[in-house]
Amino acid sequence: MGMLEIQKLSKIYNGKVSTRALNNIDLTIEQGEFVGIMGASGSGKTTLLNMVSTIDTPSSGKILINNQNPHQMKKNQLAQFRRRQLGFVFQDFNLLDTLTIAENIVLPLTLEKKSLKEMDEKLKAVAEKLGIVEILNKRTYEVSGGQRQRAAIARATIHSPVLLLADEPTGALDSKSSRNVMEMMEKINQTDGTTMMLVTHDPLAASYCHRVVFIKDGELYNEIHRGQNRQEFFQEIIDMLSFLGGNAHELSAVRV
Amino acid sequence: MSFRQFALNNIRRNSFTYIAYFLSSSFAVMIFFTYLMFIHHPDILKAPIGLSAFYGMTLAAFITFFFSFLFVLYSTSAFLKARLKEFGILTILGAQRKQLNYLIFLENMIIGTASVMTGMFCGLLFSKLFLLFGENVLDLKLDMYLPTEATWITVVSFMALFLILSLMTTIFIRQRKAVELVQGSSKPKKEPKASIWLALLSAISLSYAVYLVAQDDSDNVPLALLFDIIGLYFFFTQLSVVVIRLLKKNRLYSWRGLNLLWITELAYKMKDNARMFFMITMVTTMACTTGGSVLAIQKYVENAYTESPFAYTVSQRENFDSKKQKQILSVTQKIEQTLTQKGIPYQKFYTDTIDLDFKNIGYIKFIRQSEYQEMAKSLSLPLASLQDREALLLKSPLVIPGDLSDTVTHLSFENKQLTKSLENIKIKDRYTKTLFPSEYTAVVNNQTYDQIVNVLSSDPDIIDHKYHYLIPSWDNRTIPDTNSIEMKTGLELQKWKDSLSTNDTATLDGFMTSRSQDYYTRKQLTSVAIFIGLFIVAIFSIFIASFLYFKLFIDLQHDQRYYHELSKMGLSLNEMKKAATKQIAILFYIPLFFAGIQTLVGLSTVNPLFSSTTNTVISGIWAIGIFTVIQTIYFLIVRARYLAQLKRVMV
Repeated sequence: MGMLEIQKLSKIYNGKVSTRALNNIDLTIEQGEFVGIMGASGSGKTTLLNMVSTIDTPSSGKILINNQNPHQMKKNQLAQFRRRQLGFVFQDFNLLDTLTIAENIVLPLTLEKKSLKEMDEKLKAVAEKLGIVEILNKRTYEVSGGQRQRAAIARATIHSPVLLLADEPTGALDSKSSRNVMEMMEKINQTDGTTMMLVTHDPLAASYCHRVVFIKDGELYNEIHRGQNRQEFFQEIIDMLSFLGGNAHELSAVRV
Repeated sequence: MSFRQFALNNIRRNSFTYIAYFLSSSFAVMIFFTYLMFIHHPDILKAPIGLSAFYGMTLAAFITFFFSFLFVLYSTSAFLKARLKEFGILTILGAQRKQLNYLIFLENMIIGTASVMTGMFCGLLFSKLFLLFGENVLDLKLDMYLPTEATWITVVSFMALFLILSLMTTIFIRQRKAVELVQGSSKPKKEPKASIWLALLSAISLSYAVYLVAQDDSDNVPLALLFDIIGLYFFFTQLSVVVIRLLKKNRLYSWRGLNLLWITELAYKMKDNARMFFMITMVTTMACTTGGSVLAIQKYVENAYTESPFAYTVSQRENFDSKKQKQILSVTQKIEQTLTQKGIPYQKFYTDTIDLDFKNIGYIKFIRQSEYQEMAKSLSLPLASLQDREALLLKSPLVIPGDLSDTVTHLSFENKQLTKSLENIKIKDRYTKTLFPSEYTAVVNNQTYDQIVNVLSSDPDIIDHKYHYLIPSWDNRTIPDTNSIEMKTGLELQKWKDSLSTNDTATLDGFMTSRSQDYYTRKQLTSVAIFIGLFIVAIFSIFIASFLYFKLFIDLQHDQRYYHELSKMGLSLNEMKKAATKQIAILFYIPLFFAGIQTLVGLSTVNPLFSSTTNTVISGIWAIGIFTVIQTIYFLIVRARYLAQLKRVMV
């Protein structure tokens, strides 16, 4: 049984013209696995992430996270599920600019009314791991994008979620910061064994995954596994993308 | 899409934000129009208190207009600030300054015109209702009429108001670079800063104001007010920020549940809205103090009636030599005639009284024991056997609690001759009972009384000769309604007096005071004050609520993003509601809280000016209570609308 089980998942958006965003998706992510989802714009990868994030409901099919079906929960229960079981990393960081970095990071724990001691301990541990100890008392607009994203990762992992969901975490970063952020995610995956699902356009970010799943027109198209060499994996991803109909020259190889 | 259509669409699509502003403006127009409709009513001056109503309403119309001006100015400038980004985009697209100004001008004028039209329409629609209401209060038949004057004055003045302010607001966005405009209000806000010294100044000023009030010296009141204003201003701009920062530092509290969210948001909202809070607090205080005073006066008027045992009192005219007068019109005769005609039994008492001045105390009315005892039996007042230079002191509950404290045992005369012959007067017994309303009455035995008269014989005018009519069938424990026999009889006597020519009046042998007539006139005055005051309070509270609504909805986009992010992280709907409710409640109730304290303190300083039966603090609590209820209704409406908007972004 995987940490995340997606069974025959479909999503249809009803409008004047019904659109089938996802069609019959089956996907299993094992405990401790780091999986990337790739696909062209409009392929349905964000829709898939939203379903897994429990912020959108499927039209048919089933999603099981840690053997629980979040879509059968009541709204308040679901919110609690999200904040205990899931961690989120977004493209635009989504840090609250009225709070300091430290306050942003402990927010999930304060909502759970954890003790101050526990919060301080966890904050210290996660900040050290991500190398953001010096900026803890700064405000979000006083630090760089890369630091902000690391803070966001800290917030997403401080409560030890069973599943970390990342939506284009490197989308707003330069290549150096991107690499740094991905290395941090890889580190967390390795040391804490956190299961991760990453949705991205960026082949560089995807090359840090164990496995990359490609989606085309709402259906699973293919998946490739990483071998020993990340450089090789990166090349494979680029080849796959160009094969998928993307334009290979858009994705510069220089960044590796 | 023409430029005008563009402006119209802007308003239509922002209707959610504009609605409160539009409705409040319309309401102000309606109230202004209603006042004018009364002022220009052809019959208004025919009412006995028409002139006071006329001036009161003119003043009220001015106040309404003045605050409408402030309200529109504040609202439009706040709204423009929120739209800076939009103007930036237009600038980048190549819109000229002139065109932007024209756009803003057009939008303001569209809303202004719509408000004037709606306000006028409602005003005309409800005019009959308001006139009926006014008829009731003024006790005068006010016919429906075509209020042409009121209409054109309202339309012209409010259109001028919107025109001038529309032209003025364009200045607000002048001289800003496009890049600033694009960044607009979305720039991350710096953490609110406060000066610890100014915060300290605020704390000291407020404490000093409290100290001054506690001194119980009316000379201190203006100074206390000044320190209160200074303290309050810096409280909102500085001290509150410091307090919130301290609250944040206490992580045991702030890092718990939703506290982190609302406390940090509060720090920003406080600082951003400090001036608004200050203004709202002052306006609310004004409204509540006025309301409380009117209520206190109304209570006093009622007590003045219930504490008057005699239905009529006739003071005989001094220096009225009946022999020289060819013709005498006797007031007592007329009263007795009227009462006998109606078959109403009455008791008539005669009193001679002297007002004497006492050291550190003031005037006390003296009455002969024999005269008192006669009345005391009928009024069930206490009796006492009095030795020479002993007094039975009666304190009317209506009397202003002055310098005659319960510890005083002897009364010392101010008059030297009296001191010489009588030394002083010993207070044998004291009761809080009314013989003569609003006065201290001292009963002394006949010898003492005559002695006093002898000493003061050089001035015979010092003695008041009065007749009092006690009518047992007229119960004064409850307030009479206009149809009671007492009211009708009082009115009849009043009419008789009013019908006399000047010559006839000169031949009257005395002055009549009638408790029902006194009550009736005072009651009407307070009714007019309430009638006018009610609208003013309504306007204030509506302006305040709609301004808060406005402020909230300007921040709506920011808050929606904020809660959307939190919701993804797992903030539940209930938690969002709790946090958001706290934020809105603070906006509504913090100014109200301070206004409440100010009102109570303010009214407690004027309490000594009222009698012991009238507690201004209780009236103040009533006024605040009513205001709180109104504000709570707005709060619930605003909260419901705001939460509905936030709910849409919750995942």
